[in-house]
Amino acid sequence: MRAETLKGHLDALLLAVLAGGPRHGYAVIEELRSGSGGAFDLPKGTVYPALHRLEQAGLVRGTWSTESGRRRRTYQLTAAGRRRLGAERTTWTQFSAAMSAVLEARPWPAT
Amino acid sequence: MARDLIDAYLARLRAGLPDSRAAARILDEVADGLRTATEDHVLRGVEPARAAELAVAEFGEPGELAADFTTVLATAQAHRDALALLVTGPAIGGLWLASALLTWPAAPAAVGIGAVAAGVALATTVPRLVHGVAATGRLGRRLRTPPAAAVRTVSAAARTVVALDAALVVLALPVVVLFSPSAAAAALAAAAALLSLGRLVAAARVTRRLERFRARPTSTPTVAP
Repeated sequence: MRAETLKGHLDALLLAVLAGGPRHGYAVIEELRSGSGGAFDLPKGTVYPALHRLEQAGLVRGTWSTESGRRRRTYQLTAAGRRRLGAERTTWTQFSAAMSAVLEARPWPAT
Repeated sequence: MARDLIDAYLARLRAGLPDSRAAARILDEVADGLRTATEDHVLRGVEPARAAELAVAEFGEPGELAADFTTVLATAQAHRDALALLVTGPAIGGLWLASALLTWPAAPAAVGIGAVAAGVALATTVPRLVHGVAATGRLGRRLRTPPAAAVRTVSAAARTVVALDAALVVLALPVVVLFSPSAAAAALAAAAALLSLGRLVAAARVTRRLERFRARPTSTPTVAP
């Protein structure tokens, strides 16, 4: 799937991945790839600015730790992030149901 | 070899980022991601040098990544700057107002003209700063203001603050000192002028800083329907 197709939905996907628990940037993008069966295989770098944007919006919280001498930043959902994810899920369900209803409808006979 | 490839990628990313502590933290984070990606490939049996090549390729163009990060950094900077200008407003404005009220009986025309001019400047600046704080903060998603437009708004507001503070120091301070019958008014105006000068310098720095961000390539994040 092209990155451009996915880009408008990236934030919701990242929130959904982080709903499974705290993760660092690389783990988030790997989870996104494996969770989509390889369909969402974005340039791995793109996830980092997106996570920073979500942090600015108060939807995730990032914390630094040191593992094996290496600084690592881990992200987790905030309460606002959980609420946003719920809203995104509702919007997506309505949107996809409406799209499916139109795209999969049989053509009406011409009058 | 693997380390050289990662270091070269980080150097190109560094070149595209504004010089700041936040940029250093970004480099640490991306370095960790690249090294984790390399280790991941090595665990799958790829030779280390090839693993680093794959990791670097998977992360995408460092210039594009720097542009995405610059947008995030510019937005965060504009938020802090707009908030600082907004928070200092009431204290400085209060001092000028108090000195103006004490000077009013002695020079009603000059104080009146000054008050109207300051009111007009505030009426254009305060809404811009409030919008800037909201658009670059947690309400940004609801307002749907593009980051570049929000940064522009804060930069424009900072320029108005510079003009307002300069006018207050150059025009209002002499009026109070010359016409006010009370020493208290002059003392209040002197204190207000000192604070205005400090804010003028800070607002000029804000403008320069945000203009530097705007001069760098930035990205426009896509918003979901």
